[in-house]
Amino acid sequence: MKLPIVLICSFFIAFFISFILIFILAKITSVSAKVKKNSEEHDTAGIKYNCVVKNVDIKNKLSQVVVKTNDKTTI
Amino acid sequence: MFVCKNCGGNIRFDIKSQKLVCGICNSSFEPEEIQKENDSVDYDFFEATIFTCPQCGAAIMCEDNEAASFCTYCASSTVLTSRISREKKPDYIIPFKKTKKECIDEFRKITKKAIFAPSQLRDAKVLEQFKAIYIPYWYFNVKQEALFTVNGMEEYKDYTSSMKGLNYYNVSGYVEGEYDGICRDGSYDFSDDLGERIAPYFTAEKKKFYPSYLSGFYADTTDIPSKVYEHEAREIANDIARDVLEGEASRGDYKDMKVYLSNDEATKQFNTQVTSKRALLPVWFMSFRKKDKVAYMTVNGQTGAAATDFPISIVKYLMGVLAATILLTIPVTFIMMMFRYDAAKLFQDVTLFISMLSFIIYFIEIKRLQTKDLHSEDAGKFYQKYKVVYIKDKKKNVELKNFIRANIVDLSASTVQVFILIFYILCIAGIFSPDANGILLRIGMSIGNLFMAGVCAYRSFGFKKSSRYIGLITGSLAVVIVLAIQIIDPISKFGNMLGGAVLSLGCFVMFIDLVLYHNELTMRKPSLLRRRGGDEIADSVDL
Repeated sequence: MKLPIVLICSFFIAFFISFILIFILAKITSVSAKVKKNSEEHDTAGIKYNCVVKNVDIKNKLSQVVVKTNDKTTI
Repeated sequence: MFVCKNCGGNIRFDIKSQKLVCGICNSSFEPEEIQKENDSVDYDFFEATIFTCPQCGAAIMCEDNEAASFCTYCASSTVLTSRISREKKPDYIIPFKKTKKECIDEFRKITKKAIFAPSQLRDAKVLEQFKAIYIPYWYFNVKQEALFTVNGMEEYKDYTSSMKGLNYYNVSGYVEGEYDGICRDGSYDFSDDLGERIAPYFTAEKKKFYPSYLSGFYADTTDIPSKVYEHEAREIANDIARDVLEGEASRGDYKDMKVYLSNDEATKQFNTQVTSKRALLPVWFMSFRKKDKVAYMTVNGQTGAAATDFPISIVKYLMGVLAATILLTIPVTFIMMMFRYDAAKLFQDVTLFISMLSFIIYFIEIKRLQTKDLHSEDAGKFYQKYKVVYIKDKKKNVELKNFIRANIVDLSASTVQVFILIFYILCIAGIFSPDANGILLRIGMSIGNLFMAGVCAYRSFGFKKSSRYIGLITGSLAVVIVLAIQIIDPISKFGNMLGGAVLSLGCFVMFIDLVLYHNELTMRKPSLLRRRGGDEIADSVDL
């Protein structure tokens, strides 16, 4: 392989990798933020609350769905 | 203006002492001691000066009637028009706890990490422009009290028969709850995202509002009705109640009991009632102006949490690319020298592979930016635009996240592995050579790139501005040129080198376009703010 050709090709590949990497770096550093909370969690910071659940009664409904499991665990 | 009882001088709220202090005789007063004549008569309204910026239309409330000559929102030096207005009294206020110096220190911490942000944001003179503003928030109190019957579900596993199943139950009981201090911003132009990022505010420190708290500070005016966020307040309360219920239900024999309830069902079952009040919460605010655009920097005036979306300096980005290119060229040259194959063809193969990656990054990024541009996750701006209360489909979001976690991440990882494997096998087999297989691979990868460009174009259909297509069109054109070269003269050394160079430059334009789009969303033209104030607000907001 001729060195000038390899050098030109390497320069363009390096350039290609560079602008992608620098873009990712610029994006990461441009957003000053706490990591967004998982939407499944509710944010209770700063909230004062008191919740009581009493007299819980559980009655079995007859409907039941049975599915074959992939779990191969044995006792 | 609030006047000192002792000397008649101007008194202002002092953050350090949390009292009103006279600038002349240094006397200090509790904020509730000082009232204007009209304030004590009218319990619901207070008199304030509304300054309106002729440049951007921003309406800012102030207790001092001195002429303002600087707009906090668009950062333009102009004489603001002022008028006296009767404003609805907020119920609560959380006074500033962080001084300007502390705010600047907190902001400096986040600018240290933002290496591609404009250098001016580190300039002490620019940071001195931070202004203390009270942002209007809706302060929600939620109460629940009800006898309920909901559906419960428990999964069971029978290890001996490898079967699993679901048992359904009727779960009934009594719930009583109270939730205080759920806050959501009541200003259109203070984005939900920034509000969430500088949250939380600790509402235990709230005080009853007296207009004297505003002495020496600006305050924005409320222009979002409380109904925009009421469902979110209900949802937080319902989620907590459901968790408490699950905890109670799983105490006995039902250890894995789960209760599935939509927000609407829970509101009905738990009799969730929301009441809203007005509150003013402290924010250190700076508008950073560059040419005719502004970006907003915010710091929580109570806790010091700082948040902003920094614009990316194009000059710094290009300098970074240049430096990284120089650093990487030598190692890449060594790696290329290790291959025995034709450098031009290897170059073409590698660029096709990287361009595929860049289309994937473009797709992910454009989707994120588009969401931000359309305000589809900002309930306030969404309401301003469509006059419809935006309700996040939490269930759908959770399902989507789970799907992404379970499938797309795995799929991407597998795809990358397969690509590496194919690349490895082809290298070993010596297929990266001017034979039919190499050409077929390049044509296949070009078509794959075009497919990805098509997917990105489909995502971009929502753009109103035609300028947003330039990057994608350039990238796609580059792929078409590569495809044409591979069909017309696939063994030409010059053709393959040209193809690789064109492809890298085409994708570079795509990424520059992404940077510009990012900057467009972080720095907006003030005329787009369309702020309203005073009487207009009174007409549309539920008081």
